[in-house]
Amino acid sequence: MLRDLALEIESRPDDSATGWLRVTPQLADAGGTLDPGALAILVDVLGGGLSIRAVLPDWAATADLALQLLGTEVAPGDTVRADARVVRRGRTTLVTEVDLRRTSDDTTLGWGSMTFSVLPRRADTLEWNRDDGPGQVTRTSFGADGPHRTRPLVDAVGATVSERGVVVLPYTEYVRNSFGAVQGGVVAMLGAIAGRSALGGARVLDLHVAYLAQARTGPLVARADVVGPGAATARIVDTGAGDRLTTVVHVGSAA
Amino acid sequence: MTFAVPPDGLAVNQFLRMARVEHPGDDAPVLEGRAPIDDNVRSDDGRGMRTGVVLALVDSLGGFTAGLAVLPRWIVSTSIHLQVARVDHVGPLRLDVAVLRRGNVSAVTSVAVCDEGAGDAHVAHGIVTCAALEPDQPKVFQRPIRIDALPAPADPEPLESFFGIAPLGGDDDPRTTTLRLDDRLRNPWGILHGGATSVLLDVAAVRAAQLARDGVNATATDAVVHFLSPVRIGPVEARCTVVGDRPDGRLVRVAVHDTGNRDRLCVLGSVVVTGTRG
Repeated sequence: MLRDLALEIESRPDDSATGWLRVTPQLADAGGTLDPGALAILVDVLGGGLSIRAVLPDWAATADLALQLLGTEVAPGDTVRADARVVRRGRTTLVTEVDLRRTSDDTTLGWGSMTFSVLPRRADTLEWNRDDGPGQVTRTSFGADGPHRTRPLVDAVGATVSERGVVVLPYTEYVRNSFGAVQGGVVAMLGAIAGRSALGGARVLDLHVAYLAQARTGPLVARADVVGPGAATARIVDTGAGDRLTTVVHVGSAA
Repeated sequence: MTFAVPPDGLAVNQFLRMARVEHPGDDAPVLEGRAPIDDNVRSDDGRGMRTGVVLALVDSLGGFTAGLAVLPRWIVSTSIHLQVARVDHVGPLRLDVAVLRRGNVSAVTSVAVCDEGAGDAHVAHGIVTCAALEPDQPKVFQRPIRIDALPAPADPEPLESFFGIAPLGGDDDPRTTTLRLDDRLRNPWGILHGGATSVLLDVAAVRAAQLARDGVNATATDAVVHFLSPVRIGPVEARCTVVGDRPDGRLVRVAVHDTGNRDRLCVLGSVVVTGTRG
C-alpha cells in the first residue's frame, strides 16, 4: 500500500520528520475531494516512524490520532506535505504534532496530533534496520518511480459500503502493518468512510481516532451513527475476533 | 511543597457542581454525572454551557471512571478528544461514561453528554485516555459511588475570576492568555486541575480567533487536548496560533506553558471556534 501511495519520508535526528503524498485522482473520496483517509495514512506512517526512531530499541504503536482539516482542496498533480515533530517523550507514551500543507503554494491544510504507546522491547520485537548514523538525515521513498495507483484507494484497500453508515474491510496483506494488524491509518480511513456514509456524503473535516485493540483477523466492520448535526461516531469491530471493539472514531463534517 | 489550600481538587469540583452516581455494571464501573448550567458557566452569549466547562466535566468524570476501573492504582488524564454537536443548552447536562479499555498502563473511557432539559438531546461526545499510576496512598471509595452536587453559591464567582484567567497584554495581543496558579486550582496530585486547563483552552482560543464582534458571538466547539507534563508552578500562559479558517469556524492551536518551570510546554491542543450571529 505504501508503494502504491508513493510516500516519501525524510527523518531527521532532531525528533522531526517530513512526509510527502502526491495527489492523484485515485485518492479522491466519494465526493471527489482528497480522501481524509489518505491523509490519515500519511500522518500515521509519518508519526509512527518518527515515534519508533525516538524510542528505539523499544517499539511504538498508535494509541490515538486526531486530524482537523480546513477543507482546502488539493488538486491532482499537487502534493501534500506533512511536517511532524515529537512534543513529548515519556516512559510510556510519546506525543507528536503534524502540520499539513499544500506544496504548490504552501497553503495550510490542517493540523494533527497523535499519541503513541511505548512498547518495551521483547524477544519478538522487530529490528529497525537503520543504515543512518547519529546526526544524519534519512530519506525513504516508497515507490521511487511514482504512484502505482490504478484503482481508487478505497477499492485498493478493499473497503465496501454495505449499507448506509456500515463499511466492511477484509483483512489482507495489503493493509497490514509491522505488527500484522490492520494499519492504523487504514482503520482511520474506515471510520471516515463509515462516518461520511452515515452523514449522507458530507465532506469530512475531523477524525478523532481512539485505538483500543489491534485488528488481526477480520473482516473489520465499521458502523457509524449520526449523533448530531455534522457529527457521527463509528465503532469498528473485528468480526473474526468475536466482534472485539478495536477502534472508536468521531467523524466531523462540514454540515 | 505545602499549599495554602489542600490540593484535593475540591474547589474546582465545587465550582463545576457535578453530581456523580455509580450504576451497576457487569465488570467495569458505569458512572453518570449531572451538572446544572449556572450563569457563571454559560458561554458569552448565554446560549448554553461554555465548552471549556463541558470539557472539564468530561475530563473529571471520564478520568474518575477510569480511575475506578484501575483500582488500586489511580490515573492521570493524558488526552481528550471532544466532539461538540450543540452549543444551545437548557440543562441540566447529563454525562454517561463507559469504560472502553483498561490495561496495565492505561485506561480509555467514552463520555456521552446530553441535555436533559431538551429531551436528552445529544450535546457532545468525549474520549478520555488516562495513564495508570501508583498512588502514594491507595484510594478508597465507598461503593457504589454517590456524590451529590453542592448547592449553588449565593454569589457565584465569575468563571475567569475563579480560574485566574486574564489576557497577557490586554486587547493588543489576543494570542496569549494567562492563568494564575492558585492553590485552589490544584488537584490531589498537587498539579493544575485538568478542569482549569480545559477552561483556559476555551477562553484562550476564543480570544485568539477574534471572531466576536458586533452581532457575532464566538464559541469554542470541538477540542483536542494532550496533557504532556504536569503544571506545577505557574503562572501559566496559553499561546495560540490560528491554523486557518474552515466552513464551521476557525481552527486554533493552543500551547500551554508553565512559565515558572523553565517555560515548559505542558499542554498542547486545538479548538474549533465558531462565530454565530446572536
